[in-house]
Amino acid sequence: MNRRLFLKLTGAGAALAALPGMGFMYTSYSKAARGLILQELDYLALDIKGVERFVQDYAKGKSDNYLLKVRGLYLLRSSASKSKVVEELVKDYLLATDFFRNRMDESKPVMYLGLYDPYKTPCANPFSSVYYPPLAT
Amino acid sequence: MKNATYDLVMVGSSFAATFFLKKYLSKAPRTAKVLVLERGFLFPHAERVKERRGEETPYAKLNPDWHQTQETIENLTPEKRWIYTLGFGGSSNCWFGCTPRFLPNDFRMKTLYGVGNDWPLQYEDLEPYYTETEEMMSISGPETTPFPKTSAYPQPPHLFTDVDRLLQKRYQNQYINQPTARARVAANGRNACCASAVCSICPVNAKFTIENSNMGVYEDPRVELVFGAQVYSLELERDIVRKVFFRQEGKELSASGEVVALGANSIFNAHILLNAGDKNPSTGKGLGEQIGLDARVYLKDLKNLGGSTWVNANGYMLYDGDHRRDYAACLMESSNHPFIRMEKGKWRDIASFRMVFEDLPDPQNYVAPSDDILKPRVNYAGPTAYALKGIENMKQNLHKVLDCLPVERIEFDEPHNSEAHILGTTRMSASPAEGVVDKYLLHHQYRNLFVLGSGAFTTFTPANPTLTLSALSLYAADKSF
Ligand SMILES: Cc1cc2nc3c(=O)[nH]c(=O)nc-3n(C[C@H](O)[C@H](O)[C@H](O)COP(=O)(O)OP(=O)(O)OC[C@H]3O[C@@H](n4cnc5c(N)ncnc54)[C@H](O)[C@@H]3O)c2cc1C
Ligand code: SF4
Repeated sequence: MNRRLFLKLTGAGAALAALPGMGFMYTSYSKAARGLILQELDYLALDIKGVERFVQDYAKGKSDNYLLKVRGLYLLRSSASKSKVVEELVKDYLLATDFFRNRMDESKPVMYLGLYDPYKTPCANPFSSVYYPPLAT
Repeated sequence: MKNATYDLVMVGSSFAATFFLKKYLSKAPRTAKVLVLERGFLFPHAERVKERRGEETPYAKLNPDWHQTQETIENLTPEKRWIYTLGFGGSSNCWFGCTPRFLPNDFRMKTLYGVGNDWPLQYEDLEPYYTETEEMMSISGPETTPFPKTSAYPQPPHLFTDVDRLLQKRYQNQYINQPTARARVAANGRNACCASAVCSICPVNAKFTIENSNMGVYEDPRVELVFGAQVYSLELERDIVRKVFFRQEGKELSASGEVVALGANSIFNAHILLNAGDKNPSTGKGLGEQIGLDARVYLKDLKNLGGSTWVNANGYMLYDGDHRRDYAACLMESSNHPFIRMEKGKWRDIASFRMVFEDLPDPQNYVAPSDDILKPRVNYAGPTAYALKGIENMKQNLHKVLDCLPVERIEFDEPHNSEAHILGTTRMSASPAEGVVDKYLLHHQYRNLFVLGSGAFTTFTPANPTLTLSALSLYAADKSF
């Protein structure tokens, strides 16, 4: 098998092959997802227990492949600006907190409320007129 | 079936069928007998919401699900999806409720711009029926519009975001609160829309559907509604339709009608006609879609907050004009789902616009019979150069259009796989040489056969089709009975 074919066949595996050291074997999805969120939002006061609960709740609807991907991205020290998967993870975390309801106030502690799901909590779009009613003129 | 023969046999139970029936019933005698053959079953809204919450519901198994729907056609280019919901109420169950009217010039594309064809009816003919449809759907919309309007919208407009407000100030009636069937205020059994932005199944039952329409059509004692009846052909005899053939629980059945109307959507209507041996050269041809893509607009120190629905506004700045000789019109939709920008302090300094382009009917895109009498074969060669040029032009000019906003940069996504607007297989025309139905949606050859829906659109426009196809159903029934 030549190198080119190898790369083609392994696809995403190629990225995994480049992971530093043996870390992959010992890093759980939970640790990876938590790490990615904390790294990305290191300037916010996140409630760590809440991040951990989010990470568990979030994993419920996800495939093994996704969980594996998150582990890889963590070890590759990826970030929201480099990876859509990380961007989505962090965005979904923030939507599951009171951060946007607190009008994006970066000085307030950020508390986990539960996964953002319009079918369980309708009318929760934090940018809508429900939260930003028009100013009386 | 209760009767040997019917005054009207209708196929389907969604917008095209229901608006036609509504008008027909208002004119028909008390003794009229109407049969509605619906291929699927009722899957009530409350049960659909349960399903979305991950709860079990026995209704979920009655109609084809998302994946099974893809298998109801033989799609020769499966990478291009054709999206619709089957069952009682059809795609009214999953539509998003965006209801702009067409512009008067959309009906005269050949005369004005030398492309496509002119419609055999004009905007002014349809205007009263637009108004009636808007009443029935309790549409929310603005005071001023880029299309002439003789009446106010039944519901007040949805609220703009701060970004929309700036664009409206700059463009006046070319940038409007989107006319929509997502209720602004609770009315007619529907709740107010609150921008949850998952309209395919609205969690608060705010958008119009056939199920929540309160139109009284299927409760009318003259109407017999039969579920699980898949129509596949017609008996055509000396320019008249005699019978409708359908399969129910594996049995081959037929129904006779004085008048027959097809309201099964652009793919299935054409397929039924072709199976029946319709020889009109245009039947099945010119299958079309609009093309949409998202533009993400990064803003400097401007927060995009406060809209009251999913699509707050429509922009007409790239829509009508002489450019339509060369390339497609574009309708802008300002979105309001909870998108963000992953940057400290700039979370919502961003806007998202869906840019929707018209296309021209192209004979290379067509519906044909397949070896399976129940499955249309769908051939789609892709969008025309006319549409693609429209996209390129927009990409080059959007920053100028948005010059009243503090734009940092604009990013364009790839076009969406589908706009879910299936158009053009039974186009309306002045003569049988140019199309399949006349301006009353009556087949040019079979004069007791109506072919309803957006398959009849002579040209496509970038505007959402359902308000117009519903108004056409009212018009056709009003003028014909
Ligand atoms: C996700 C989504 C979002 C959309 N959003 C919008 C929007 O915002 N604005 C807009 O204008 N449009 C929108 N549309 C398009 C809109 O839904 C369609 O234009 C509209 O539903 C077409 O109405 P219709 O009555 O012609 O056909 P359909 O709604 O497709 O209904 C066809 C009916 O016929 C039945 N049927 C089909 N085949 C047979 C058969 N062989 N025998 C018997 N019965 C049959 C079906 O079960 C169904 O009841 C959207 C569509 C989708 C899928
Ligand atoms: S935006 Fe939300 S509330 Fe409004 S119709 Fe859509 S899903 Fe329903």
